[in-house]
Amino acid sequence: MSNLGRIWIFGDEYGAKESDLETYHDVLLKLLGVPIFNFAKEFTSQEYCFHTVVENIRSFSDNDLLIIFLTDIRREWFFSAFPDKSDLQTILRAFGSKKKDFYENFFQRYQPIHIKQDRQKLFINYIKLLTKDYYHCPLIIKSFPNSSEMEFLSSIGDMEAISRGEFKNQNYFLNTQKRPNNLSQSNHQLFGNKIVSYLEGKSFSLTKGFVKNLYQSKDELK
Amino acid sequence: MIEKVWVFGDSFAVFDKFYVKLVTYHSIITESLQIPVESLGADGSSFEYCVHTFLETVEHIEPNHLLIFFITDRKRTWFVKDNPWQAYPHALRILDAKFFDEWWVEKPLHVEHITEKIFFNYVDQLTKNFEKAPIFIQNFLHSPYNFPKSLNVANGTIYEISKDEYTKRLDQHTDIRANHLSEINHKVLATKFIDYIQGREKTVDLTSGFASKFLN
Repeated sequence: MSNLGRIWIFGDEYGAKESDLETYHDVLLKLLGVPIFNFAKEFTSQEYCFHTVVENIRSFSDNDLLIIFLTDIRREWFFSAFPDKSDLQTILRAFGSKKKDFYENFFQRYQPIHIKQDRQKLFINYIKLLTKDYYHCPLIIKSFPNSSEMEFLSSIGDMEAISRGEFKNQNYFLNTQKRPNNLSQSNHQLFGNKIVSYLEGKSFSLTKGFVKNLYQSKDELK
Repeated sequence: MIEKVWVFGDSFAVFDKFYVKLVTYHSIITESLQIPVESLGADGSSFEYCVHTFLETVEHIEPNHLLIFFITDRKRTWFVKDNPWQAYPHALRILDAKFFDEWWVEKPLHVEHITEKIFFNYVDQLTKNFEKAPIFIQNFLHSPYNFPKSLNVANGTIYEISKDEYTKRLDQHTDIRANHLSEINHKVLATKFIDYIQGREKTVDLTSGFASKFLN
């Protein structure tokens, strides 16, 4: 890839490099041989992702590729120092039940999702404008079906579907050390290949080309 | 030549059916320059609603349009989608006093700062080649925003002008002035916008030229 500078990765557990096992991150390193800066962090919110992008924006070059994983839109970054405590259960587990009523009311009753949708639209508009003359259009990926309602993302698919598809019974869903980024080794390879194909000008889709029904039960991953 | 003015924000920006027969800075600009002034402001609304109306409009904005943003109190939150005006603490307390009293304490302001940063930089980037740089007006002294240096931010705050019209302390709840300003100060404000549009001034100065201490 002659005109590729560096790769920047932002987002949640589907993008994070938090395992010693080989992941799509390593596949990209091997296939492309360019520096990769990975700022994705497990269980964080979209706002944390936007924050890390904005913090690094001045370092981007027009031949860089940005890969942005949009997480579950319902996650909230309440505690500045703990971006990974972003859903009701995790917050209650980490900070006790002192403010249980408040957080339950927030997540179950009052959470203004429309503000979060606008924030996402604002962010995507900004990134598109900023990178309009880049060689490679930023790759924006939905981690979950509810990550975004934006039209241009609707046909691409989402990461969770690939992850669930690995199980014969798709209700099993497990994040273990054996499955970094909630993906098996073979799907990491395929995902990495898809990103390389995208850089070569092919269209990008997560809806096909992945290995399915790899596991019969959760026990295989213990 | 500027062909249209868009105004975004809260009660200082609003121009609705109740305002049609009044003299406001909107109507003065339209009459003086023969250009439309379209307001997407809503009484009592939040910064998030201002962002929303901008996103809804952005495709219709042209380089020969002027954008004016009245940036409101950061404490407001647009909780109720269909009621953007119900964003300030008193209005939300009616829904659930316990929850919303706690919200003002727990509200993650670092997230607000991210939204602001993205919004200001987006508008800045988008309007780089516009005939006139957008004008940002900070409404309240107690809620300062961190504007990038490249933005055209008016000196002073609009609330100070509004408050200074009174000889006594202003009671906001009984304020019937359009955009919380008397006609005389609407004229001063309109002149300042017109001077900016016509290139006589580089920015809008809200710290001088306004009438004060004439209402009881």
